[in-house]
Amino acid sequence: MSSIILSPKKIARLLFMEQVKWTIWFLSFMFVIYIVVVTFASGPHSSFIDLTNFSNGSSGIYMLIIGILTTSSFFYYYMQQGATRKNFFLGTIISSALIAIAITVILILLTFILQFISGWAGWNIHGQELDFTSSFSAFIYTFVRLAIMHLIYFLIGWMIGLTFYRLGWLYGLLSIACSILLLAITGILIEVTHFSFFTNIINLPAFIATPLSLVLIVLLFGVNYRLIKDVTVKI
Amino acid sequence: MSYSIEVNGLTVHYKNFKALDQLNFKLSPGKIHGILGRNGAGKTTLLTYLASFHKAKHGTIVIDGEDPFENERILQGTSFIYEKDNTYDYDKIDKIIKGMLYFRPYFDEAYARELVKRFKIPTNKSADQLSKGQYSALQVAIGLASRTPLTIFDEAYLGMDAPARELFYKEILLEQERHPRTILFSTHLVSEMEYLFDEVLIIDNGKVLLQETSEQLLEKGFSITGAKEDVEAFTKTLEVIYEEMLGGTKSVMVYGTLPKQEQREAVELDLEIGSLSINNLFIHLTKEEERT
Repeated sequence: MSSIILSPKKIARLLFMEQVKWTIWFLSFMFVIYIVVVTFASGPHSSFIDLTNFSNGSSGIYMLIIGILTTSSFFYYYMQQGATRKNFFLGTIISSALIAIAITVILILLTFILQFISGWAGWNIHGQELDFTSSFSAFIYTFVRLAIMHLIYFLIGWMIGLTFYRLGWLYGLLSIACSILLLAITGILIEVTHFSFFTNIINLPAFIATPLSLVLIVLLFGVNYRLIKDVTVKI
Repeated sequence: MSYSIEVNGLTVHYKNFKALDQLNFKLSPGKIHGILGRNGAGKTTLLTYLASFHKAKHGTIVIDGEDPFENERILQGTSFIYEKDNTYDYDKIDKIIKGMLYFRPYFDEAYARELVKRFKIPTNKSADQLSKGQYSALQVAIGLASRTPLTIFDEAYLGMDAPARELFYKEILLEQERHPRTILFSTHLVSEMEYLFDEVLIIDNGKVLLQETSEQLLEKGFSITGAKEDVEAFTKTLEVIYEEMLGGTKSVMVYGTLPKQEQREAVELDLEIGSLSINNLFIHLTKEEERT
């Protein structure tokens, strides 16, 4: 037989193409809402937060949702087409990382464009807690934190979806409880999330927080692989 | 290209219920196998294991010499067609057919389109707008055109009307001539499909009840028709599974083989000997099990 058609790379490409469509829909709505709000909320005497700060939170939740949907909408489909669970897992990891980067890039790019046209439109836009315009290093730092945050949210959603699929609703609910804890930890590690309980108490420096968030990502990879590697495909 | 299948000691429990119990059998490559059984006999369970939708915990499955579970090569060559729900399938038919080129190395797009046309499936609609029968026919068309070395149809014809089913059966035979592969058919519409089967595997209560070629199976039973007294005298020692009377004429179905000697005796008594269908045997064999 010829070479393997549904390789991780191929699955990643197909998944990415599909998810990018969803993402563009999501971002378009986000954009429209922002424009409407900014038109009313900002003027000569009042300023409004920029797009990245505005959508931070909803973009994380969006990633969480598409993570949850991965199992119900894609897993079953690819299993029917003769993919292996492992290749699907690897493909999803690649595509989710790409989506996390893409959504961050698009948001920041749009923010820059809006900043650029704000003078002409008469808007008064300011950055809030997320600073990426003051210096290049600030930009990189914010960019990486946002991308990691998006990826973690996706992986947590994926874990919830998989637990429901594999183990039923009781364990599914447990996984949600577990996710809230993980989101709180993410909040400590990456302050950009709106989901942070203890940020006032614990303040981790970047050189500790960033490696720890990578550890969290690897941990979620492990949990999700354990859940998917011999899961029963339901018909 | 076609896969062989070997199953050894496959046992499946659903909580306290034994869905499959120590299944052992071999299916030869390049043949059409009928997997027959009553409702709940374990047909679909078995097929989901063969398609690697489940991981076998007790017992082994070997397909084309390898363990199929998580096996890229085997899975790529395995199609599992079953009754699906099209409520949430919003893709256009055209896109679905084109999409198969991504997944199946031997997929023949032109053939798929021809089948879709002959099944009268509108290609400009989306899948959720199709009727149940049309959606089944679409699955069947894709299954046939995928030309995978192992193609499993699990009651795939559900909802398809008689002309569509007829077309499907005909195409199966034509395709098998053009591109032989291993085809598994699970069905309880035995009477309609029995001429398709090269080999028959009957499953009952999670066990293999019987595995034979169609010819062997057909030799296992026969019918005897003649004058009532003669038929009764002749079949006294035989295992009669069904009898019918019309005036003075009696017709009985007998399970078992008939030696040459007895065949001659029957001819001398002016009795007519005929063959039984797989359907008759299937009904008898699975009923038998119920009584015990």
